[in-house]
Amino acid sequence: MIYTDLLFFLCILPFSVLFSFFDRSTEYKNLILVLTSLLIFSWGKPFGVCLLFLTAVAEWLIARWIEKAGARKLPILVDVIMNLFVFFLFTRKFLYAGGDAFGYEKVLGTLGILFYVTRGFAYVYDVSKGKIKAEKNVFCLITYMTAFFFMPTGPVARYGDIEPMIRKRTMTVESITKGLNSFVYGLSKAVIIAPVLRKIGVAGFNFGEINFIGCWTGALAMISFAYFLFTGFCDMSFGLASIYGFDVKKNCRNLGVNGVYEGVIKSFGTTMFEFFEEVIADFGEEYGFFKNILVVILSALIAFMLHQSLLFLLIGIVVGVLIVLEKTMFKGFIEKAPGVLKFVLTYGISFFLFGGLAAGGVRAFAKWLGALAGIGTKYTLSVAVKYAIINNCFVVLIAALLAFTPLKEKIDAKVQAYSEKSLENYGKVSVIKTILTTLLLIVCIILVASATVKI
Amino acid sequence: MKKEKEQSINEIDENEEYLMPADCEESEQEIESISVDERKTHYTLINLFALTITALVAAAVFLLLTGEKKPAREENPLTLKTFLSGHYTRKIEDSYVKSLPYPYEFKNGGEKIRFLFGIGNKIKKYKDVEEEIVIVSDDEIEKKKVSIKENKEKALDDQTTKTKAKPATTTKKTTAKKKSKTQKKDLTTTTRATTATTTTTTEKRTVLTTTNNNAPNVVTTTTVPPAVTYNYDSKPEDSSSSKKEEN
Repeated sequence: MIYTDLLFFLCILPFSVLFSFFDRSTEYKNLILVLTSLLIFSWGKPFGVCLLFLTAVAEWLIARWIEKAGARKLPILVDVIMNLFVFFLFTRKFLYAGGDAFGYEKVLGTLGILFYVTRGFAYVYDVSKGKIKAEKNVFCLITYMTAFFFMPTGPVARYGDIEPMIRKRTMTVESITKGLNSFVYGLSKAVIIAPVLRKIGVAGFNFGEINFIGCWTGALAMISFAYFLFTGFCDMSFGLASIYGFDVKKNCRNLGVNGVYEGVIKSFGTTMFEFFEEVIADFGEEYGFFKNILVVILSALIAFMLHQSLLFLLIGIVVGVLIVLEKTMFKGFIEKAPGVLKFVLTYGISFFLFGGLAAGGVRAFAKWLGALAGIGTKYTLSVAVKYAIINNCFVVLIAALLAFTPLKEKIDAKVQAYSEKSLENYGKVSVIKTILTTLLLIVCIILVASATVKI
Repeated sequence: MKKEKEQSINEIDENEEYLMPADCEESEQEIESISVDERKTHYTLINLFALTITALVAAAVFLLLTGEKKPAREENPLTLKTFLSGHYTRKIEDSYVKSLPYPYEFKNGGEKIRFLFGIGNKIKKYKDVEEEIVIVSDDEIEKKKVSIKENKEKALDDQTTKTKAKPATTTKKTTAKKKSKTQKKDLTTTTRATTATTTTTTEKRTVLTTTNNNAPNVVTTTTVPPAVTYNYDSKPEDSSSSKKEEN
């Protein structure tokens, strides 16, 4: 079950939030949160939940072992092996049951388990570094590990930041309102914009009628689809955490032009990459130059774990090399280069990388590369691509403005400045925002219902 | 003495004027900031209520109301085996999805929203075929039954003569085509019925429809329960136009 399921956001979520208000104690709220999370993950695949429970307890034991024995390397090695094993076991198999209306569960299942194991490892790592103390109460750690809003797209919230909220938190009007608004925005990205972009992407990558314009638009659409799907679910995760009284960082940020890694890749999982940067920096202190090799290995490993294929492994290695180059040789160049050049380089390279991922195989990738230059294409533009673009041109335009331009930030800043002028202005802005958000929610409900309902 | 003292404390001399202390600037600012915060909280509450009520109304509609075609209650026992295999929760989800109310309205609503996504979109209209059923008197039903029987016999005669003349493969093709057309019952591009009858033969309602009374050649549809419809009184032009729409 994922956030875009009707059964989740119109049935389980309202009941869970309602039950959370029955008692003021944080322990009770934690219990409701854990039970809700277990219900969501056990939906269709209860065996997976048992394993999730076991790994949460294992993380607790390993952290206690580090603290008691004072050993560091062996427990961390054990933890890494356990998490890798869990990841390979769970990938595409256990986390979600599948069969959602939009077909997102396949993609999010893999990502979700990546964020889960990273979060577990981050806890043990922080204990080993002495940044936090090992948790004595296993129930607190289970709350942290199994909280459902940390799962599909992160964030990799550090236990040191979350622990005070697990011990004591309140669900206020402000936090719930902020959370609901964020959830609706995320839902609209995932339900309105992402399916349209995927439709164009699929039409463009149809190798049965491969065409020149379709290959270009298809890759662009697939990058945008990944961006909107991920940021949409990040917004929803942030919103849900806020509803339950947790104040966490978002796991995404706006796309930038400061290189492929800083500008694009880091936007998909900001907190996770920040954690890995920390680990690599610590590793570099001990092993110097070998940290660059670790970057490449880590990048290749993550890519390969996301999809066990040669193409993903190759792209992972390329991304790792790019990260190393951007952090070392080209650091000065990226800082000083003019904006247009940075834009072209960042999105040019990202285009080929994402295009490769969307193609799905080495042969298909080669065919797609040829088609970009007009080699082996049947037409310039296929009917399917043409109609997919024309029939959804308004949504595509809005998506492009939101993703690739600073328009949203400018509008936000202007609205903020206007509302701060007087209380009357604040009221106007607030009421208009409320009306628009409510309309957006209604539209989302209708679209999800129309996709779910069976005639 | 004590009483006198108490009285002197409690009694207020009416002639004496009490000067109220002048409002200090800080307190006014504080009061203003509190009122501003209160107003802001007020707007936050409006936002919260609007979103919560919308979500709760939708949740209540989906939970309490059920679709017209309510699925038959299937047994879903909660045992260790059904729970661990995931069948239990899967069945709950299935029954929730199947019992969603206003399925055609939601499909049409979704189509109307998607119409606004770009240029050149066409709205597909989903319509329940059973909506067009008109209940008529028993006498009329009997008359129609007789005419259906006659039509059927006539059409069957025509069919047999045709099948004798044509090779067997072509008949197979036409029946396959017919079947695929009857399966597309969720779209309104099916025939326009002017009158229809409802006859209860078994516990389930069986609806009989024919597209054309004076059917030239083979136009008979086989009655397949639970819902196959026969339309009456439709002119040959109607059927041809509907065929065009289908194409």
